Amino acid sequence: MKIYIRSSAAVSPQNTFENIEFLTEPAEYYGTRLSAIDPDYSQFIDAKSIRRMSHVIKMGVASAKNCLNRANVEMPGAIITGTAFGCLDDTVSFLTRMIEMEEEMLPPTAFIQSTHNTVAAQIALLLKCHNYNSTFVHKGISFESALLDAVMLLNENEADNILVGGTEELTDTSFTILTRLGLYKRWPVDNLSIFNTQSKGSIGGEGAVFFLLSDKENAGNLAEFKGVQTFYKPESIEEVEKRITLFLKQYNLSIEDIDLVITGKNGDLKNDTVYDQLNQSVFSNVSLANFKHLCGEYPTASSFGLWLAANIIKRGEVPAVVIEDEVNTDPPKKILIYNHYFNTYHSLMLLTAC
Amino acid sequence: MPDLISKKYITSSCVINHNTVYKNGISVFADNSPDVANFLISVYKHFDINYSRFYKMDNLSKLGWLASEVLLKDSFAKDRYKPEDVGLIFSNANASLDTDLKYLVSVEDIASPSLFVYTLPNIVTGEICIRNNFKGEDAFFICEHFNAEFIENYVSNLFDNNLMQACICGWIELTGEDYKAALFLIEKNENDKSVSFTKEQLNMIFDNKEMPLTNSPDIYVAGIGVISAIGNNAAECLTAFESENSGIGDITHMQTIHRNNLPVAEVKFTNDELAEMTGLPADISRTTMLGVLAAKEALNDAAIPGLASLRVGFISANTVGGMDKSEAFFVPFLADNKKGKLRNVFDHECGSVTEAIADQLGIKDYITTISTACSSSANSIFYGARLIKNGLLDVVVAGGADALTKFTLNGFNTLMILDKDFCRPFDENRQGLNLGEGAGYVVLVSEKVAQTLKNDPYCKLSGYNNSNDAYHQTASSPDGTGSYLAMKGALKKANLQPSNISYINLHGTGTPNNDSAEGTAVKRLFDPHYPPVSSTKSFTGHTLGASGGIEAVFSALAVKHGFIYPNLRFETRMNEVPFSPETKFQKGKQIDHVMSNSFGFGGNCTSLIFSKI
Repeated sequence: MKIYIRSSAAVSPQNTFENIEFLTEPAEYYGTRLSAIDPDYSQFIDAKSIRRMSHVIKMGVASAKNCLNRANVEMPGAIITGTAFGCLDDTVSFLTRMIEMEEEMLPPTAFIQSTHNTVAAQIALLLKCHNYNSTFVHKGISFESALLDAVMLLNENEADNILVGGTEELTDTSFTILTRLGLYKRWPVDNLSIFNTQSKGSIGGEGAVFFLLSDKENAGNLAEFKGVQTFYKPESIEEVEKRITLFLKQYNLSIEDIDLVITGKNGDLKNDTVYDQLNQSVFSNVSLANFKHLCGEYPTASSFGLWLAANIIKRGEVPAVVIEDEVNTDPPKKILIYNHYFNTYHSLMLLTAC
Repeated sequence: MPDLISKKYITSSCVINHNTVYKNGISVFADNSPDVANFLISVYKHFDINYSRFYKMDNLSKLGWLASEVLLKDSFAKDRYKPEDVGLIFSNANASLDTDLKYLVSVEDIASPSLFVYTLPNIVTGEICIRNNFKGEDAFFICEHFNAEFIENYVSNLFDNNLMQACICGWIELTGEDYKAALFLIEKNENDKSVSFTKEQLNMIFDNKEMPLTNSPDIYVAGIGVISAIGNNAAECLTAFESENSGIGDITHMQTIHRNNLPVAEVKFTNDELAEMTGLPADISRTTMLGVLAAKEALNDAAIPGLASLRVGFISANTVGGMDKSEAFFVPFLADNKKGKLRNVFDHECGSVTEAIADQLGIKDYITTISTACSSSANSIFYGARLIKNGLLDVVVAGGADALTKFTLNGFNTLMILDKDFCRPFDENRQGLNLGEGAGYVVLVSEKVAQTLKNDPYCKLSGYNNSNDAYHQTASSPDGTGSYLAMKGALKKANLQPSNISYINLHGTGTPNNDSAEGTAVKRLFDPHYPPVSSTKSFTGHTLGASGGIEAVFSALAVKHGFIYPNLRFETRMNEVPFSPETKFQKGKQIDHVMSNSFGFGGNCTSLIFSKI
């Protein structure tokens, strides 16, 4: 059975939502925090709901609906989301009031919307979709876990037209705490040049990227989704190399067959060491691209990487801003996405032209 | 003589392709072997077949022979047939080209007799006949593509003319690294997994398109582990059920204004005691410590031989991660955002709890976390089962954990669904739920692993379904649409009728809204024959992300030992339903199938069915 990416939609710190220009004029930020560019939510959500919804819910719902519209599908066969932090804004808001009001006179709204499954639930509610609905919340592989679930559902013939998304919001509070935890750089930087500076920390990001997966051929399909694999705490760089080679072998491919490798490089000295080592070994002879300077680092950022790969294949062009070194000019037909999250969670995704 | 033409069925199928072995449409083995020769050997080893001739065969014969082994294993009652009544009709496009070419190369040096004997395609049928002592008609056809119509006609003809009673037919192709085997067992007798012998079905199976509904490998519950307010392990919980001792009482661990006002169901240990028992530092989340205790109990209980050589996963669930520690962080942080111990917020994420438990268990092949509010751990259990069914893992520890936090206590309090007295699920005068805490895990294993266990597994996980109510973010629809769809879907998956269910472990939180919706859904599905039902939340409180896991443990015990648990404090039947929950602990009952319901915020509804083996 073949699995296809039928459509995709992305709310991100770039102008990705309308899908008109393809990163030709990348949004430039000076600082360590990239915020999503909000589309006109009123196209997708009624005014009353917009006021009640937190940022991540709005991003998620709009992106999901846009993705369905692009495929001309009204009712997905399943809705699966991945998010490590869930609905942070509502969580922090309820927590803050609880502490400040000393547990008295608390309004329920923030609590109600704080559960991690709120985005998937709101999509179901708006579509009146009674089908399979799940939310994965496992750090840097939340989105990949959701994808694997979708692949299994298709394999099991349980559902078609599966809506899968990765969502994450970066709030003032989480940005402050994650900065204190050392995730982000100490000094403001130009996002488009984070790979040129050798310093600790990355830049924060957020977004909501959705895909519709189907096992049916369609002229509009963006790409064939060959598979996803994750692994945990590899013991050495050699193990990472071996995992990459074995992953490709499952599809009777070797690294020489891959036209483009998109990596999760994020500008953090320690984090990028893994990619630098691979670039000297297994990735030494392939064209390379990066994306986290565009969307920022966040646990489900690999969903932006998948969006990028699917659109590169469909459009047959690689945006100049993502190219690491130089890229063969032929339109890429096979793209490998490799990402890791603190060298703890690693993920591989493979796309090919339909 | 049309009356002699009996119906014929595909009673088993095996497809081998792309490094994967499918039996009856389900992947039963897959690996990353670098080439076909190595892959065939790993298939041979995986199915634990002892047949030394295998190593002498050429690749085409190995492929066909392995496919026949998988096809017939547990699916063919050989003794029902005379050897001459079982035939083989095979086909492919390139005959024995692969070996012919290898032989040709060998001829340039010294002609290899061992290769020469395999330069005929029908050697593969011979190998299968030798192995099984089949003596019926056999033939090998060469055609460009798999021709289902030809197979159907040819084999039907042989059956209708009484030339065979059972037939293995299909396609075996191998040239270089390109290969595909698709074998079908054709018999006259129907079984619960069979489909009609038609060209459409042959093509669908050949293309791996349709999975006949019932043809799913079984998933077994090999071990259980639980900690809750009524006991620190499975045995203690059972004692509490038998003596009808609820675990609900005053808040003693958390510093909150709701002490002495809102009852909860606490695990009796303090954090320091839990830290000592688990060997973990006392400043990590209570949820992690509860999870470690229950998950370790489950894994020890399963006592799986050779665990280190198996692919093991840990799929956990929780609703608020390390919130108990985040609460501690936020107090100083809100006063000054440069303050607050970072250690306390570092493991805020739900995934951090799972990761810490997995590290304690030594599981690293696959770990992930699901959070769908109160149905979280029911979903983690059936996601785990599907990982095994899809051939990705052999063993999965699945369930969930949640400790009491001020965040959830206050959250539920703002929704005004907490009972100030002990909760009364499914009672007309119920006032709300009591929050609880704990962890519950089951160890799920494949059939192959189940066969290696020293102790009998508890039960099978036979059915599951996740449906969404799509009605309101927190409230259930009046007719219980989501719950109804989840229960109905789980029955369908298990291929059962409502009348087959021996006991329902209700979600039964005790809130007016949930119990009314769930009761209505039960009525829609089961009326007029209601199985015994009860809510064990009258003992454990509502443990949120842990409840599906904890109640799965109770369900597994109910199947194994014939238990029905009491629903405490029940007095008055609800107006909207004609049934009442069980109020006494019962043992020695015939319990064949237990349904366990878990419904949550966001309309997430999941039902699981555990069945007697």
